[in-house]
Amino acid sequence: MLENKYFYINSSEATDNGHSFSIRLDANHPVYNGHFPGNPVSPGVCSIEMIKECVERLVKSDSILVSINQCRFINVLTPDKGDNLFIKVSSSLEDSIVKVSSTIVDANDIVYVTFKGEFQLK
Amino acid sequence: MDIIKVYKGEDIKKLLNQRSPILMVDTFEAVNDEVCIAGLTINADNMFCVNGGFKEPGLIEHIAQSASAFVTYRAIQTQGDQNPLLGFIGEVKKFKLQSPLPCAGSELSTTITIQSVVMNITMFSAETRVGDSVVATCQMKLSV
Repeated sequence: MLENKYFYINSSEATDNGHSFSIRLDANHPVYNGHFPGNPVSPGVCSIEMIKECVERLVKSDSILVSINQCRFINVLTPDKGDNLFIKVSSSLEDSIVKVSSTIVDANDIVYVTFKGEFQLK
Repeated sequence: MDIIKVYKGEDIKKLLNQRSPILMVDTFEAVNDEVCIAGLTINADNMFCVNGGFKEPGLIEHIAQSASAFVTYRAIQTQGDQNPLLGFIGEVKKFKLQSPLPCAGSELSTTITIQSVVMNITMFSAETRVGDSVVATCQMKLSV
C-alpha cells in the first residue's frame, strides 16, 4: 500500500538477529497535505504499515496485522528526517502467525518507533 | 449556554487538525466526561482502502483521531473555544483485531473511554464496531 509511494526500500541485509531495511520517505506524499497542513509529520500508523510491508517482504506473503502487544512512538518522525532510516526486524513464524519485534531508527541511532506485534499470513 | 455535544460534517474540523486525505473521523458525540463515540463512513477513495478493503493503519488512525477529537472537546468544555489540539500517538497497546477488516461503505463506530490524564498524556481504551460486531480493541496513549 505505501511502498514506492510513501516510502522506498533502498536495500536490505541480514543482521545478527534479523534484517535491516534501509529506507527513505517521500516528503512529497499527499498525506502531508493533511498531516498536518503546513506542519508535515509522518503518521505513526504509516510507520506501522512500513514495518508490515518489510515483514511481508521477508515472509514473501501478504499478511494482516492481528495484534500489537506494544508500539511506542519515542520521537516524532518528520519527512525531513526521512532520507536515511532503518527498519530493523526480527521475526519468528509459527502456524501462519509471524511474531515481530521491530524498531525504526536513523543513522545516528535515534529511535523513532519500537514495535512488538503479530501478523497473520494470508 | 447550550453545550454542543455532536459534531459532524465540516464541524469535525473544529476538533481535529487532520485534513484530507487523512481525516479519519466524520462524526463525533460526547456521551459524558469520560466517554465519546466517533464514527467514520469508509469511502472507496479513502487513502487506507486497497481494492475496496479498509486496512489496519486506517483503523488505528481512526481510533487515534477519535480520542484526539475528544481531547479537544474536553478542552473546549473546560477552557472555552479554541483551535484543535495537535495530538500524537505515543503508544498503542493490546491492539486486537477481532473480526475481518471492514470494506468500503462500512460505518465504523468507535467508543473511547478515557482512563487517565497525566500532564499532556491521555490514556484511553477503544472499541471499534461495525454494526454489532467488534472489529478491534486497543489501548493508547495520546500526547498533545
